[in-house]
Amino acid sequence: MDKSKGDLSVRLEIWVKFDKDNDTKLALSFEEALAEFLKANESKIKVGFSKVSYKSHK
Amino acid sequence: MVENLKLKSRWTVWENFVLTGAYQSDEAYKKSINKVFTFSDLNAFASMWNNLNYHKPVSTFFFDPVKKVNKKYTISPPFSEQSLTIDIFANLRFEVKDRQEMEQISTINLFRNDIAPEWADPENKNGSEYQFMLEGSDPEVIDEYWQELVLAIIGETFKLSDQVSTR
Repeated sequence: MDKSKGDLSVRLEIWVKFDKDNDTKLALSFEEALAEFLKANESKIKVGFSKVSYKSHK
Repeated sequence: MVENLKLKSRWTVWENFVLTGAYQSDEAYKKSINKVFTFSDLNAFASMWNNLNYHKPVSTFFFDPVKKVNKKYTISPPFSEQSLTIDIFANLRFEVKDRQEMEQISTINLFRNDIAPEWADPENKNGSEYQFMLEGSDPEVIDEYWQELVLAIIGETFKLSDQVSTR
């Protein structure tokens, strides 16, 4: 982001107890819930957010 | 007087300070994390959030858009809701107001119970994380989004919130 133009960015991380590789069903449900939450709030307050990325702790 | 604002879980706020140098050892990382506050009800959460200036646009907590520099703070001593008396509140405000230019905070962490913001924590080592960026030119709008997320997590209104540790 170009902060000189007043643009700002904040990275948010949500740490979860499961690993996608070991519990795909739970991961899918969680991702659906997260997408739903982001979509609902995006329309409410009009702020951009990037695509959600995933990182295992192993 | 509003009562019974107990949350389902106890939460701990941690701050990370920016690590310098190319190699960041586990030991250096451990030293860079600071436990700031624990809470288990909404009153304590709101008081802590306001007194630590997290209620201001979170993006400007890290970065001064006027001076165009990263902000730096002194390390806050840990507080718990049990220690939150009127006097402690006054001290906490004083502490925050008089923070010296010392450390650049990289991350505000919110974790369930005593889970530490490190992958090696037993509650985290078999887990994972989802990341995304909030981007825009209005810090207050970014802050509103951030607070919506924080409230959804501590209020456990988020679906599958029992799976969240979190950060």
